[in-house]
Amino acid sequence: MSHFSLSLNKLLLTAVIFISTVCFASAREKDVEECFEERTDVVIMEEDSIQRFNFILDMPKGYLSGIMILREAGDRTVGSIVNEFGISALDFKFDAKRNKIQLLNVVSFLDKWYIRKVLKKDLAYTLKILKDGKTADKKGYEVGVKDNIVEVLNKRYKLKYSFESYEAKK
Amino acid sequence: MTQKEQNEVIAAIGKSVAATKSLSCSFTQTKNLSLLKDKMISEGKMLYKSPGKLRWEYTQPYKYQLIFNGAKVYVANRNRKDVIDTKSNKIFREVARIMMETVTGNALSNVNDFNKEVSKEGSQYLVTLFPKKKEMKQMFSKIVLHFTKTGYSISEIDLYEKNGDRTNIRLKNVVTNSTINESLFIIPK
Repeated sequence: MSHFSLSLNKLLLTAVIFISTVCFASAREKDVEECFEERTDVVIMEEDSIQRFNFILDMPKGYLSGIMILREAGDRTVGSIVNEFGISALDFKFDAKRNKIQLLNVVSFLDKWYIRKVLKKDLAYTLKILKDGKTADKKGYEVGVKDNIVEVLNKRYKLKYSFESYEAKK
Repeated sequence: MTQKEQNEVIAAIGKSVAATKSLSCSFTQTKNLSLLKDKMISEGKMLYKSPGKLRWEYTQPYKYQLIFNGAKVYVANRNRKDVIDTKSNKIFREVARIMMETVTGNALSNVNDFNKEVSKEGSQYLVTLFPKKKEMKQMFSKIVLHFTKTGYSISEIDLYEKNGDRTNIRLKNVVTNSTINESLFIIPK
């Protein structure tokens, strides 16, 4: 295992400890990120919908749990991941048409460039599946769908994301 | 309120807290998500027993349980159950301490963690805690504790996050100093 992978696991483990409790912090959006990608501001339309998922991220040495809330308007989605105590871990904006995701208000201990990179890639892939309601093969991933649970495995880092839909409202 | 009046309220709350040997209640937690312009509402139960025992449990719309008992913390969700020893985990030790101090109102007497400001609002005293430590500052801009003017018991907690989100925890059916079964604080093996 490379140093990179070990560092990632260590940091994600730290995240488990925090997200499983109340220790969240918000960090400002990185200016540098804006240099590398266009903004994908979501216009929230009146006829949008909100979906909620129980969220678990299993890692080799721990896990994160909480709720993911998505507000969709056409191809565009805004979302938040919060822990059970309601404390925010991550906000994001996703443009499914352009497959662009922007991370906002990332909890400080997750706000490392290498973690953001993995999270962005994994979330973009997962959100597309949740939105389309069907799996799409992608190298490095395994996807399982059972009843209202979608599981996505990042094989390289052994990160398993689980989303269980428990509510949808218009 | 003058500083003298604020100090008197803090002292009265401190006296009430010192007399609280146990506390049980249900609660409604409302998270206001600023980006999504939405609310997330969850409900649960809370039990506290002095010294150092706290059971915080969400029952709707998800199941999540947290039990603090001495140096151990038990965390359980729908498919995971973990026991953490706070002696070897500084983060959890701090979390356990701050949660318990906030829930019981003991945070008011702690001068190291927060700056305090007391105000009146209707039938309540509001005590606003401004974090002093870096770790807490990264999480919250402020925490507001609501106390009843009669009895100085805690009724609501507001957590203000840096991203503009706010979480309100409203305590209901609060019962103090009743007998609480010790088995509810047992950390499963």
